[in-house]
Amino acid sequence: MNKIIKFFKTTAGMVLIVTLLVGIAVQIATNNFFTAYNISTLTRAASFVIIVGFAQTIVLLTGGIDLSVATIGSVCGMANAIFMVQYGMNPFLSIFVTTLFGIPLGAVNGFFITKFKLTPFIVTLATMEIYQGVVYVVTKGMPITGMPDSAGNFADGVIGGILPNIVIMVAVICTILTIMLKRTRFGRYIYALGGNRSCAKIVGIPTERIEILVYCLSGLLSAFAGVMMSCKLESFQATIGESWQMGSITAAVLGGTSMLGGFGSVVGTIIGGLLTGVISTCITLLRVSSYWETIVTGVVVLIALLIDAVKDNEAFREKFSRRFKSRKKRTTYE
Amino acid sequence: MEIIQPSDQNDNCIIEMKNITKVFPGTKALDRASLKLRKGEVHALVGENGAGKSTLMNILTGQFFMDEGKIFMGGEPLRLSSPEEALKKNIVLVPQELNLVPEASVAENIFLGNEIVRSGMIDSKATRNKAKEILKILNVEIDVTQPVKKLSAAYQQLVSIARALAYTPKVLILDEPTSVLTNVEAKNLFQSMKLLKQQGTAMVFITHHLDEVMEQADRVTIMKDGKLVEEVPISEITKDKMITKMAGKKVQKLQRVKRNVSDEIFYEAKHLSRAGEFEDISFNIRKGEILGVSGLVGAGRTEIFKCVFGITQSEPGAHIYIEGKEVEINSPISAITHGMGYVSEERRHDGITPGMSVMENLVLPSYGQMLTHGLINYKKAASVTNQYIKKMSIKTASRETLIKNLSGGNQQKVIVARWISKGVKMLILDEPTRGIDVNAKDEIHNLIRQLADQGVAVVVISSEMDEVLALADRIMVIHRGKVSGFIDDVDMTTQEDVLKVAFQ
Repeated sequence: MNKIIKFFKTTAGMVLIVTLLVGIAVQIATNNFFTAYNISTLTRAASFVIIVGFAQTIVLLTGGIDLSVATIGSVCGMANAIFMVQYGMNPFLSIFVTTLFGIPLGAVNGFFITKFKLTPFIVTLATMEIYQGVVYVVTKGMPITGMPDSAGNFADGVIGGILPNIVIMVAVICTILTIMLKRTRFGRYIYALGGNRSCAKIVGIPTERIEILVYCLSGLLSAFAGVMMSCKLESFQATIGESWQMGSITAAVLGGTSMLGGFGSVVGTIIGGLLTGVISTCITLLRVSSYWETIVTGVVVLIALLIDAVKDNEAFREKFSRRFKSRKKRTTYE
Repeated sequence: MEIIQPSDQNDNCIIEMKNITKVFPGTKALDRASLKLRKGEVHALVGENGAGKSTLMNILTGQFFMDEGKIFMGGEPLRLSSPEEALKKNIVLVPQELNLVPEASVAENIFLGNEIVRSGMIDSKATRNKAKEILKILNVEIDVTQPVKKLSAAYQQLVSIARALAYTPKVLILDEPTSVLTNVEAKNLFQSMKLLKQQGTAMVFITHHLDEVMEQADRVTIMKDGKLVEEVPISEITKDKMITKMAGKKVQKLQRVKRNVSDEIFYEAKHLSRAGEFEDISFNIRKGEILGVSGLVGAGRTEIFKCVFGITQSEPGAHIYIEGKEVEINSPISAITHGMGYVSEERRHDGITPGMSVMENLVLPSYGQMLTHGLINYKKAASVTNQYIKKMSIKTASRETLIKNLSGGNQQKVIVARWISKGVKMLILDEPTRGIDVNAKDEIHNLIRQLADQGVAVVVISSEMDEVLALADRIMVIHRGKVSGFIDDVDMTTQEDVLKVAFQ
């Protein structure tokens, strides 16, 4: 019980409450939110950004950032489409191989960041552009279509009309990552690295190796999201996952992961990713023009983080409570 | 609700803090504490670590909010909701930890946040001249256009005091101002304090050096466990009484314990050199020996042992032997595999990971020894942690408490425990008791002795001569990056002898 109360006091807990409130409000307004169809569509859509969000979370935990997540996904999704369509490769083999492509792509980030002490922001910004360019050069901006149905069914299938395959995959990845972060040396070293890099070095943590591995893992997860997206669409377009780069950061931060490193969890990222998913679904349900979506998302993110900041900041709290008190006093005198 | 009124105003009182209570999760940091500052006095604030001195000062400077109590300035109630408001009231704090912008110049640092502006632009000429003027009060003559990072820690401390003076303080709070200063610089600072006193500035002087309190302060407020113990004029109290009141029980002076050391050499270094830091350092340390490393601040002591632990690399030509075998140590990882541990002088910079729990900070280097089927066995980690919390009497609410919520002395114990629990054969301690109160200091000294008794080679680098004299079996004296001598017979040595070796 204590643990549950504690959870709701965290950023992720607050965001979960906001998410549910938004859902309930829209349910009351449209009577159409908590339906099996809607929930399964919503979670299927949100799963991709959540998987990329996992990648981002792990990088943020070390105090870094990975802007190349979306384009790594794009490159690997493209490779997947090419393998299936042009070479007729077995879909599952293709998914497996092209997902692994993410590792070397991420390793490039890790290599430049650790060996040359370059800032993660700049390195991943550069590789983001490069990978994006590779996609345009190879596809010349043309879509690749005609992937087998089995791939589409694998990525977009729904068990029993409510439980999408991709959601099961998110759950499995989340479990593995949580165990990795909480119970393995590698995981704890990731937190130690983000918590205090100098201290991590002194206690004998192989900081460079950990960092390279983290970017490799980020590449792997991003690649998986990109590959699954191309399967789901049964085609590839250069615009796949355009919004993942910022969306993944939003999901991680809404889930309580610190941009400074050392604090956060992948479970939180699921909640953060769901909130953005819920907002976009609600906009559709409420028949608001979809042009409003990013504005609303931005405002909700600001509000959620504002509540969180006020909750943890004594100075803010004091100011608010004093303003409140003085107003009360005035009314009693009058 | 009780109404707190200021006391009578006939004794030049400028600030009065009355019945201040502050509760942090799990601890009552202040329990109806009070402090009264008069115009033109140096008011020493003493107490053990965790007695609430810093919390009280953080409230006075608007960094924290009190839960209960009142502050009066010149008889008027004062409400501070931010550090800026305190600065506006000319209440200025010089923090213990340096807080400068390393890349900015001395003059810019002094007027940071308090810039001299003429028609919307920073007037750099006036800034420079004013900065020089202020530094003159402190008897410091340096080039004010050089970046602060080029200055030694001592001068950086003086720059941060100068920054405080730029606010023309009515109340100036100095938190351990002398901990990084040499004797000459400290004397200069005390001179400047006298000058400020004549101008009517009230000063709060927080320090663990009770001799300085006896010499410099007009009054002393003694705190213990968040409560006010006593406020007396300095003429009515002695150093011993002060210690008794701080501790609540009588504390022995640092006592030397004679120990027997084996003849087996554990570690030997030959010809360690790093350009600009130190040159041709050769020494050895035996199993179970406590090697004291003495010398002035900036002599290169810290740099030498950073190199020994592999954080920095020696120039070619150096040889390292561990238990007689030549080895290569080029990173902390290799130093740790050879059985070494290191506690740095800057606890916050590279000692603790503030956002992690006490347990995690303690077992961080030992996770490799706590795996079951490749996963960390937290039961094991918890039992090791509990064992050391008990053994070293670490004051913490639980093992899950974040280490940043512990007092400095207890954080230090956790870091020392980190290496002991790993089972190191050699431990390097750089300023192990800096900024730590008398009682905790004694506990840490005893720990060091116990450790050495178990055969661990211990290096203690310290600026406090009496600490080195009380602990060391042998003293290595460093002067300007070179070994200027070893003192083998520590029993018969006095502080003057060590200085003589340093300057010979």
